[in-house]
Amino acid sequence: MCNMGGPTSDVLALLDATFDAVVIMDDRGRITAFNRSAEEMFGYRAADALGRNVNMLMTAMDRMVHDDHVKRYLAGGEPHILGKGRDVRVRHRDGSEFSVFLSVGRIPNSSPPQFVGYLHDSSLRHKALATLEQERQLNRLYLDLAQVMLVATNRAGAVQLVNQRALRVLKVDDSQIIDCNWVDCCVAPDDRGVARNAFRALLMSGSDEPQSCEYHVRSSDGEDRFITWRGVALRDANNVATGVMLSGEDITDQRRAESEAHRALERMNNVSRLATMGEMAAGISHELNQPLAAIANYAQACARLLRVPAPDMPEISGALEQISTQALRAGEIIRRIRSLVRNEDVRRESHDINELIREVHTLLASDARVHDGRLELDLAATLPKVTVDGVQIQQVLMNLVHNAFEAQGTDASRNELARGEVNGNAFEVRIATRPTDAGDVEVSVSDLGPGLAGEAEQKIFEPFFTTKPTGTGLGLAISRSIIKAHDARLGYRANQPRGACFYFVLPAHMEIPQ
Amino acid sequence: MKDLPQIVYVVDDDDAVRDSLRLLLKSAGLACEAFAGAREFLSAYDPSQPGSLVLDVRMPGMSGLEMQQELNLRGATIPVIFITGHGDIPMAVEAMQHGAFDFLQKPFRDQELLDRV
Repeated sequence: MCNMGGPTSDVLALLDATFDAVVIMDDRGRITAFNRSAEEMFGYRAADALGRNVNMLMTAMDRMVHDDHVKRYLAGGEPHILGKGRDVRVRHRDGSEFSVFLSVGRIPNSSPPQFVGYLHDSSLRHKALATLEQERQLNRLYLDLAQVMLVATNRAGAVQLVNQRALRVLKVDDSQIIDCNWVDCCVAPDDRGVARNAFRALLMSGSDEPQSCEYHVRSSDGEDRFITWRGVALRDANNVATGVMLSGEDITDQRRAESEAHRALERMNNVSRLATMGEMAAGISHELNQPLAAIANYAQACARLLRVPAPDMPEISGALEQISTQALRAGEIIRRIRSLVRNEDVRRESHDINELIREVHTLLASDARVHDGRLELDLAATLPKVTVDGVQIQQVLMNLVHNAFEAQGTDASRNELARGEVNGNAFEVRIATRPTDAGDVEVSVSDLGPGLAGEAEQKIFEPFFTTKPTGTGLGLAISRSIIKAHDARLGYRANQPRGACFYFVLPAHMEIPQ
Repeated sequence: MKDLPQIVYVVDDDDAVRDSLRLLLKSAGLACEAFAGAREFLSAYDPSQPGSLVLDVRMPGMSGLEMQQELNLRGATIPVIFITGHGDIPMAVEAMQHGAFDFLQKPFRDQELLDRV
């Protein structure tokens, strides 16, 4: 910095240390001081600038009027720029023009008056602002390009920022949502409690670990979308939570696909049940043909018997009775098949198996009385819950219990009982539950009847296999397909000391720890 | 064959079918013996007794076809008329190949059976 009737050397040293360009001029507009930043800004060395008119740093337009401004001021007129700052265009030594922020002051007690101009390169500021703006737009772009919903709220829960994806899901403009309470405006009413708790938990948590939650948002047209959220608390410099940032993924379609897959699986189960029935179809026709053949034979026999002069009436009457019995038998087969093919939705719910059995016990008490027997319960005190269709499981139990009573109703069984070959209170059916080693639930129905001989044991689950004179052979097949639909197996084992035992093991319901 | 005392044997595990066949044959003036299973028949059967056999295909234990083969092994020549609940062609073919006299599908007209017997 050079001095030319200008500031003292220590002031000049001070000026050289500032970032702003400093130019001092005298009352005739001549430069008296030109600091280092000014040298850099304008491309003149101080030695070249000193003594020259300051208007060499100005654009052509300013140059023409500057001297007049100075003269007018000195003549006691209005200051033009003095005391205020403004953006001006200035001229570099190479002729290029650029913007600076200029503030001018009169140096106190200077006589003749001297003026100091501070020039701040506002192009830098402009550049910085432009860069900032660019960055902001880039950030906006990042936000809007994101496949997830992004929402930031303040501490009170008012939305401060929301990206395009979120706006699309919610079907709103940002003007409709900015500064609105997030939970009240956007969350589905039923889920607001969940959302509020999650929001509070985020603000309270001292950790920066994202927290997850799931809830529905409701769009402006009333559609609910299921969103899985990850949230973090936003913090100020003092680590105080100032709001939350949420990123959400719309999993409505995914969930829908999952539940459709689940339904498809259920349908497939039904189909496989139907396929099993397809195998049965041949058997069904065979079994229906049995009573029909018998009816035809009896009827034709009756016709022949009636042709003779003295018909054997008792024989004919017996045959007619048989005809009605066989017709009813055919009807029963059809009824059973109908109950088998009824394609009802399986309603699986968490059940206490013992509760289901107690209900069956009430229903079957009369069945037990008819068979002059007793239905005993032997239920484990504590069992895990099972996820089953309660009604279907009860149907299976009723079928098994009914079979058990019928098995004991056979003549052979009655005789043995009469001879006291069976210990204790015979003629009873027992439903028992117990936990298996694997923690699942075994349900068994046992009787003290004749049990199953070797061959019957193998064929007992085949459709239309029956050991009963009036049986259709469908009861166990239906029971087995129901149990199979519950991912379990209906099994047979010999009961001790005698009789049959049918059992199935239901998987324990997994309790999700709270 | 009609000159000799004939017995029509009926083997069917179904009580009603068996009993109705017995009555039908009786009403047509034919002597009849009915059995509930293949083994019962085989243990009671006297090959010297002329007659014919009405045999159910589908029975628990030994099936009608197995019983036919057992009879063939024993050199029995009794004509066998199979009755079946469902028209299973391969089964019928197999039965005929093993020398069955005829094959009837249930339910059938009495005359069809009686003609064959």
